[in-house]
Amino acid sequence: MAGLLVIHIAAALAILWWRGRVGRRAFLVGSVGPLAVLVWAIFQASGISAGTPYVQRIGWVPSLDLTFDLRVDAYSLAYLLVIAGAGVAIFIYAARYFSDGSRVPTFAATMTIFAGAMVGIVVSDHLLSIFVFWELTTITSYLLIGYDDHKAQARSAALHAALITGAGGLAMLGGFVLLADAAGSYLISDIVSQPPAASTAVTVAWLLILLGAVTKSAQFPFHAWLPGAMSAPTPASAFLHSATMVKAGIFLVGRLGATATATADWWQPVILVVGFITMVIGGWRALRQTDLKLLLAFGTVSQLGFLFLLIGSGSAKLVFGGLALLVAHALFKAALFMVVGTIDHQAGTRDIRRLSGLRRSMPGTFWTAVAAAASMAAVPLTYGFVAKEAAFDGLVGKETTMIAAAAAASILTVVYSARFLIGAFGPHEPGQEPAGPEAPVARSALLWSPLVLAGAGIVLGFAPRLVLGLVDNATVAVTGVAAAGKLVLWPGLVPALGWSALSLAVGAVLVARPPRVDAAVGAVGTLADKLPTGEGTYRRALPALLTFADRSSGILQNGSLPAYIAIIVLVAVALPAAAVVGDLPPLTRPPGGIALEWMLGALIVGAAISLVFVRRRFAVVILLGGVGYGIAGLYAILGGPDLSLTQLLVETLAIALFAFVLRHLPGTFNEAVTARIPRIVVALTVGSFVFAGGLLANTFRGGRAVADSYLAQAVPEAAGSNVVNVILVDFRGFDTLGEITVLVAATLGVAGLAVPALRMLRREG
Amino acid sequence: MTWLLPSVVAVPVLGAGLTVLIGRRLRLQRAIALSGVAFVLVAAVLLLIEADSNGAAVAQLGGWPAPFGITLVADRFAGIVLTVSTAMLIAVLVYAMAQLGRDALDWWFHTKYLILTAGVALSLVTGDLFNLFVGFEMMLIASYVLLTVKTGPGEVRATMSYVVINLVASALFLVVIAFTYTVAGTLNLADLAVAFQTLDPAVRSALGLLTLVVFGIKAAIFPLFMWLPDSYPTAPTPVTAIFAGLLTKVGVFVIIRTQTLLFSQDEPSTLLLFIAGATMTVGVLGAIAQNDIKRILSFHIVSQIGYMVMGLGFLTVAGLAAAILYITHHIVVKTGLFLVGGLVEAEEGTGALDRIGGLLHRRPIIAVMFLPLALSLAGIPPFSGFVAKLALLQEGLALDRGIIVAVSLAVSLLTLFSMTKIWGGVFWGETTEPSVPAARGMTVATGSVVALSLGVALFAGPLADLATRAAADLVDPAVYTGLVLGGG
Repeated sequence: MAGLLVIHIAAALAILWWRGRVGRRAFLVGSVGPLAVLVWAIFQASGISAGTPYVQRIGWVPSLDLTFDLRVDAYSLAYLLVIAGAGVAIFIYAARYFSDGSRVPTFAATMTIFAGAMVGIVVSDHLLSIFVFWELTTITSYLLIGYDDHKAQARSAALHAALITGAGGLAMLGGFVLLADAAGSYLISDIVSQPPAASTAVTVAWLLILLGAVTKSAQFPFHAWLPGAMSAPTPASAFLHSATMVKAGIFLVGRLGATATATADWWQPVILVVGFITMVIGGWRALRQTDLKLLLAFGTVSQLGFLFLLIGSGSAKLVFGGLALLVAHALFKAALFMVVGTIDHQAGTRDIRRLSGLRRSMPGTFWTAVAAAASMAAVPLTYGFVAKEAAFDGLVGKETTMIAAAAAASILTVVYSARFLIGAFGPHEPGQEPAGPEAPVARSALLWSPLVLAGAGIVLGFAPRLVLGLVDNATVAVTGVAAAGKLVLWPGLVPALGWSALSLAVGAVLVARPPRVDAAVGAVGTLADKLPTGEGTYRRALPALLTFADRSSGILQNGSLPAYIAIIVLVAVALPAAAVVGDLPPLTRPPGGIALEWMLGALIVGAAISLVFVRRRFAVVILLGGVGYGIAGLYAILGGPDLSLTQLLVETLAIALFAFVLRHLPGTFNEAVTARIPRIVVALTVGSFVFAGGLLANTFRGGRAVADSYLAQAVPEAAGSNVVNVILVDFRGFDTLGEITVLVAATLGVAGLAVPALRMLRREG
Repeated sequence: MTWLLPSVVAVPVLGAGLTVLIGRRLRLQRAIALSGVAFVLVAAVLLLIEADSNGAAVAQLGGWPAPFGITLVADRFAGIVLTVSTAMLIAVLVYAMAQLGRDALDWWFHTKYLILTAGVALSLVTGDLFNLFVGFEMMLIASYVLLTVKTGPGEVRATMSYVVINLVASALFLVVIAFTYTVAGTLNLADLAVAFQTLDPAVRSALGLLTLVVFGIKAAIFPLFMWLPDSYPTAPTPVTAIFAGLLTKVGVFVIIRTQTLLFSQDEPSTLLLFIAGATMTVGVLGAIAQNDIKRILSFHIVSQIGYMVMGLGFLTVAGLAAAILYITHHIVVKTGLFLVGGLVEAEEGTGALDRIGGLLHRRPIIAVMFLPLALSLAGIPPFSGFVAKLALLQEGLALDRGIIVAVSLAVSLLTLFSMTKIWGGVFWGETTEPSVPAARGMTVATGSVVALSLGVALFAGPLADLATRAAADLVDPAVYTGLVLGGG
């Protein structure tokens, strides 16, 4: 199994390696991936259907429970066959759809990686490995949607899809970890067999996981990214955005639906409501499209809603109907997308107002479209009808409103299926420039690939037994019970048949009166457009976020160095102060305090305070010097004559240097002393803090072990009578090595700044 | 193995001296610089192996037993960070050599670079608070002078804020050292850990918070980060890349070292988690507001620091292990991203998103290098950032810290958004006119960093185990004090 994933990666790498020569044949190289999966799935089918899942584990980061646990049961198998089957057809189709171009191989490689990731999702038993593949599909989908990257619209559509599904994915990851925490395992097979006890954490987990599934499968209110994703070249739309990726969310809710229903009683109602809303909105919006591809996209949204509520419900009969429909949808929708691709390829447009006379000029494609659309509309004798019957059969016995809603959506499906056929193959609208194929469709994959899939939709209608076992076993695999569902062309006079007939009949009536339908759709549509949608929210939220980010970072990042320093030092004061305030013991004054110390202290403090009030620069330098000399004096009193000497030298040198620099600066500061008040406050705060901190530290003064030991060992061990020198060159010689290095670097730095400056001066003067 | 420990500092310092002495012989300078850093890398790997088998390599310099002399300690944590840091130092050095080419306007580049290397190494392995100050000073002085490599007055002005803020930080650091020495009478970290156990809890926690602020400035945590995005983007690429990859992470390293060793707590620190969340958020908001590659990346340095602080904030073995994993991953990825950004700048003459386009089609190799790094930064699987973020996520939820987890996930999404901003702006879009391909060495150096980041992802399993062992040492200060002071 893991080998199949490797084949995808190897095929993608091979394409990239030979990207200079491979051209559009890259898709044939890429088709090796789905083909291998298809062959593998067919060979494994009997064993897996018999109830023995195929299991494999690959380690990655065991300490984080991050492993790839693959487990292919009948439920996975159903998806595998859909992915691989649609994949092979679409890859072969793509090899004819594209012309050779420098961008095509990269596109093919990305699509191959996607195919591998999609396989990865449906064979993973480990929640985290699902997430890994899940995100991989998000990223590859982003890259594929943005194929026409010179178009701003394609870029923003790619971003929209990535952000919505990315957000859902991250939420889902949180949900996965919470769920695994509660259940004690990341393995779905464990979680299903021993569900976690209901708790707040589990509820949150289910909600987050649902968010992931809802965004990925384009459910209301997040569905708007899917029509946008139609900017992708048609093969990608057919593969990712109808046959496979958008079913990942459905796959997930199907896997966990039964467990979720058992631990959270809100799961099923939420799934049903979300699915129904999506189904109706998608169907409705499909009626208003003039772009064939967008029409199909909204149709997909609608169908996904139906699949979502059926498969996610956790109830065996619904899941059975859902899986039957899933297979049908992959067959007819992928076929129809390819039909649109062929039309676009031949006629250069997919605008139903312009397309004209295609029925005669593209007969093969026309009949393919008829077969697929019939299956989509659930016309009897097609597999679509058989599957929808199973779905209706599952719904019968539930609340009537649900069946009614499903029927309403089915009516919409009939109408938009007809709209598709008439729009694509009927006459052009008056007043529009007609468009038709420039050349007949070659007898190539452009014709065959959709034909095979659409044909399968008819063949299965007559031989539904071919999929019955698959759907039945898959249902048992996730719900634990057999649905006892039927997949038959003639179900007998059961309520489900009534609903199907009703949908078809009403749909047919509406189709027969297109102007009135259009008028009604237009009127309600204008009204509906005013309702808030997920799309509008996204369109408003993104600029709002950018504005917010811009403003907030503008405030924080205002470029004012004094402000930065003030924030830093005030935080440095506030945090520690908050920790000790209220707990302060009486502070102990340090020993000493002879008159000379007090005098020097007064000099230092006086000089420092005067500093902030003077306006002449030179006075500032003198006062700074006063502070420095005062400190040198303190060192001398406290028994550090060498330190004192150093300090004196440094101060003197500093004053001399300042004096040189001051010659080039104005004599006084321009600002008024009042303008300095905030800075004075900050400085006083910090000063008092350090002073108080010093007193506090002194209060808690500990032992002097190290200092005493230095004094004791300086002469006998280090053979030096000046303990400061011994510390500098022996006890702590490594510090000195570092400090010397610092000096060298500083010298180089000054030279680096000064030399070019001097050179510049010389050139000028 | 103890003799190796001082050499990770001494050898680059020696090399720095040599490069000054030999004067303007470019080839020789390069050879010295490369072999100096390479030596440190080899030593770092050996020390890490030693640390992993014996707990730590400890050197008492000058033969003065702790706490009287200076102790150097390479435990697992230091070994990991030192190894990955020096690997980046080598890659960036190669990149810089290729970029500067024969143009050796700055003769002392290699000297400064070696001093930076020594400073980073010393800051990581020192076991002494004042010696840490010295290590920081070496690192900082080298960074000051590197920031002004080949610059005009404008860049010098931008560097000002970096220099001034760091001087403020150094002054505060000295205040911390003074207070610490007063209350404990020692500067040896292990000895301090012992002394602090009996210190008044309020005073200890005040000192801990002041220490957090001091190193927080270096690490650019909220609200002390503002200097970083202002000063980093203006420097030449190799300098920015190495600063971005290493310097703030040394700050984080020291925060983790001091907070776990000196100021350890038993419970997750709500303050640290708040800082973590705020740092992530302000960083990423800043990033999405920018329209220049290096500026976006600079804000992300801040944002990503938040994740490391998050791991620390949990103060558990798993949390710290996640933080260590995060640091390891991040040093590589961040350095790589800046190198890629530098490649784009070198070829296009600008990093402004609206002035570049279609690079995917003209220079696919750059796009291929950018993609895994960018996705890794955002925490998208199967790249290294995902593993590190997952570790944080798991521990956060296990400890019931849902808010910080939610914040971290939201920031991940915004990170992804800002990366698509770069992708959409630079790699997609209308092709701008063809540009001059950058020197081959630059691409090779960047490629090797990308390969290393993939390696981090591939070997995330053993790395996570190593990080867990390192974290276990951190959580129990007795391990460190036992190794340094002996006797346990």
